[in-house]
Amino acid sequence: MQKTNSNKGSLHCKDCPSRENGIFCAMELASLEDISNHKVTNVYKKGQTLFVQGNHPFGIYCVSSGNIKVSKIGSDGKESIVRIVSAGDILGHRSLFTDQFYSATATALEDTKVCFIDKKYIMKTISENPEVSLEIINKLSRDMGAAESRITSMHQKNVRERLAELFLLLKDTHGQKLDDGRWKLDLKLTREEMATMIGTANETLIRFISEFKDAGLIEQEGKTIFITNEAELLEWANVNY
Amino acid sequence: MIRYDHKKMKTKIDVFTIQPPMLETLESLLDFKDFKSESILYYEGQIPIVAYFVREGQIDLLKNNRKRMSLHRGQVLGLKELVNQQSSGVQATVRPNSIISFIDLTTVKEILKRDASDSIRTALNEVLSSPFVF
Repeated sequence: MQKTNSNKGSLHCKDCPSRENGIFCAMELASLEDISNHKVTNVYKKGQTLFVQGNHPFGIYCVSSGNIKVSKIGSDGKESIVRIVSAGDILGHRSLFTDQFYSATATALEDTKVCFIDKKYIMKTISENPEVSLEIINKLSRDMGAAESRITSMHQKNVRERLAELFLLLKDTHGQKLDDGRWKLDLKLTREEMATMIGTANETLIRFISEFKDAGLIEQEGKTIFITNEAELLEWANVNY
Repeated sequence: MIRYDHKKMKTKIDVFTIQPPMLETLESLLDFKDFKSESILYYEGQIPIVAYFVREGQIDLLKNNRKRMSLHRGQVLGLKELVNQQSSGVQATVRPNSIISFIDLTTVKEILKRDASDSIRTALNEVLSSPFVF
């Protein structure tokens, strides 16, 4: 008989390292216990997909740890990264609420622990817990704000400004402040992935990264990028808020 | 029951098939999705996020990227793992142009709380108590 294993990666919501950033952060322990009994926890290895563009949504995904890229494939087969989803974020909520197919593909950028909650249960939880609704509205609003900023950048900024803006964004979401004052970007993206995030060609991105290094704005050790001059990077990003 | 030879090890795989008239009853109750292209339902070592039920087409079960068997109309996948929170030993890939029904954990739990005379509860219990553990 084909053997299966009990799930060693199973995670109780109250013990989730990202609970404070998640949509259930304001819920009481008894409610979290019930959620824990209605979810499925899985680890997705680097490159494995949680869902694919065009698939039917069954529920929402809560990211416990790790990073996921949400990307769209164009008619020419090229990938565009829409956003990076991190610990504490949710995924698939937009398609779930609109009852549409997934408009993008979610792929693990590293080994990522994700909890899945089915549509029926999440709808019940939302109707019974207004604080969960507010957290989801908060996430949707932030997503919309980020999408609007991105559209504006694509139209109004040049590649240099967009790259500086990307580094600042990654600093906010994945930056680790080091004792020497630098910021370590704790997210390993390929050059190709970074290029798609700012809407440019791979070669152009590589050229600008060299320029940023020469100007002392960033440093690179292996595949890891460090921000060394945040103030100058802000100037280069032409951020006017 | 189907037997497969895999390297030196003989692996026995049992698959539960829903028979008429329950087949038609479930088909009328469950939502379904038409898969136009090949799609991975879950990977080896994961718990299925919902249970699947083949209405038309085929789901392939793979281990170490090798196809071990295929599921066809009326066959159920992932229910036992979903309810028992057990990871699967195989990857499940739906073949293009398949129609697959699905049933989520909340619905399964609701059905299992129904009266013992409920025919759908009986059907689910039959699947859950069957010897296969895919």
